[in-house]
Amino acid sequence: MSLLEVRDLTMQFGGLTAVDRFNLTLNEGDIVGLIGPNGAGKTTVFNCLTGMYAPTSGEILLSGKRVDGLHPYEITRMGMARTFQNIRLFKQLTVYDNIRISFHNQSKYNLAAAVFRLPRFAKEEREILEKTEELLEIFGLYEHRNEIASSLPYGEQRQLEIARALATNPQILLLDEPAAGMNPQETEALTNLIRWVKERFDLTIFLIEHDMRLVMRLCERLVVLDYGVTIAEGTPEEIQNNPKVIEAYLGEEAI
Amino acid sequence: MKKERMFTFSGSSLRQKLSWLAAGLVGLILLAVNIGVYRGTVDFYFSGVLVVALINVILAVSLNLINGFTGQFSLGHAGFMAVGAYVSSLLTIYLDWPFPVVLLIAALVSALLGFVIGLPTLRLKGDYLAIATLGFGEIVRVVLLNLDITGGPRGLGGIFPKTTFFSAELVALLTIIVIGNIIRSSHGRAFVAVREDEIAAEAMGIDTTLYKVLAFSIGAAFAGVAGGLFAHHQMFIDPRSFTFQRSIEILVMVVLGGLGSITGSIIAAVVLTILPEALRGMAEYRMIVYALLLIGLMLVRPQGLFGTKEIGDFLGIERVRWAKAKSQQPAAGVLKSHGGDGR
Repeated sequence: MSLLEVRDLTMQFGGLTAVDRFNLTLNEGDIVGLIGPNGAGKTTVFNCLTGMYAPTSGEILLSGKRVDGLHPYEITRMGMARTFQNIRLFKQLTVYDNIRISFHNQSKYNLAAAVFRLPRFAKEEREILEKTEELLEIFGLYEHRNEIASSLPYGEQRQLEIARALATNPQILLLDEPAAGMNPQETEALTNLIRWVKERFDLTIFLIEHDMRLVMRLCERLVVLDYGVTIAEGTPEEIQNNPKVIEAYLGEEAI
Repeated sequence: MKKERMFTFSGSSLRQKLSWLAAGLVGLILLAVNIGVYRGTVDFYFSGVLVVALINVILAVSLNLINGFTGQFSLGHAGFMAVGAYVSSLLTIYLDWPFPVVLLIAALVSALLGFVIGLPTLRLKGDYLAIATLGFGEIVRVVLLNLDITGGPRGLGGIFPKTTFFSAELVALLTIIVIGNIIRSSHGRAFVAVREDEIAAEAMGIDTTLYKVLAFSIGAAFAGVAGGLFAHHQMFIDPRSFTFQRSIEILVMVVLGGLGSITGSIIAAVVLTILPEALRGMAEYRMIVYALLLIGLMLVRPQGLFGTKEIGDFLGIERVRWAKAKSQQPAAGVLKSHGGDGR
């Protein structure tokens, strides 16, 4: 059974079909890229997958269970986490709290345990603390733990967002333009980071990206969207030479 | 590591010492007031003001959970307070139930109402939620005005004076501990996450609707208790005690103290209750001075007296606990040294 199965996903806004019969299969350990010109509907696909939008029609199966129409928090708890195109950290909170919040669904104690400070509370809070510090060290953010998230340099905010998504303990990680606004060195570092994180956390990764060097180096398989329609699918080499893709990006060749 | 050391030894340490001094002074004053009230040397009028101040502490801290920590702008706190006041008064007048039980029931009824009101209205955001909750408060007031059992506009008299300085103090303390402990837990962080960014909170696996309704219900419960204490202090209540103005008063305390600071709410509630009394000497200029002070403070510190900081942040208590947690873990290297446990 594949980890994620998307069948004929369609999303309409009024008369506009943003995504038209999108299909995708992710197997464990896959790293797949979703590319396409601006406005092709890539982020809409992400929003449908993560429950931000309820798709107009189609099915989304996560580990064989239907998840379309569920709330985002339910889908996150079932093992699919995401980052956002325009970084959505808890800006006014510390780096430390950004991560700690994301361990919320792994804490099992109830309100009473918190109010009366039961042993369960202390135990789980300590675990959260340790896991948070571990993540912060892995991502090299430990030194910045007491800083306000919005005060971090851009690249580190991106890293923090990935770290925060990992704190929810996902099987699938969706990255929405992780390299946006990064210079070539930062993109290079990010490429390595994603690859490393994938191995370290046994992840399956589905990412949207405009940076072709990152996509070509990282992804085993690519899906190309244009005006909501999947126009090509295949290995990076196949995609690079696909006339339809070239047309979508560069326009039709003048004859 | 370096940061922590700097914090302890450099410029900030003076602030920390001053904070300890201030906290010590406040503690001494509290002790003196308690002894004074216990021995009966504090005059009747002033001890009455103190009870109102304590009730306001409960109201402000509980509203802060909704408005400050969870970021849901509610203007209906007086409504919940009214429900608690009437429910508890009717129970003591007609059934003569013990006061603590009555307060508990007032809390439950208010919480239930908070839950029922919360479910539909919390789909609204910002200004719209404010108006919906304002409407709720007015509905409660008008219902109370038209019911027979509440005495309608004549109000409800003959309530036994069961609220004492010490019972109010005890409840205020419990409020602070309960809400404080909730805030400093995973659940508390979920409230704050809802305030900071609802979409991100959802994406992090937080059921934002649940936490909004929870904040509303817990806040309403304590407002109900405060209403009960208020009724058994005043011995007479009528719908005019719970107008929209009342909600605004509580809101001012929360905003002035700092949205998201329990310490701030406590101090603002006490100061804003005692200040108008202290200004009585200025007769008719009193409210003008009061208003000017508020405006001035908001201009100088728009984030409120304490912002989102607590007393512990000023005393450096939180940081000490931090350092401890760290030292229990063996020094971990970066990247490679973390093997296994991929989950």
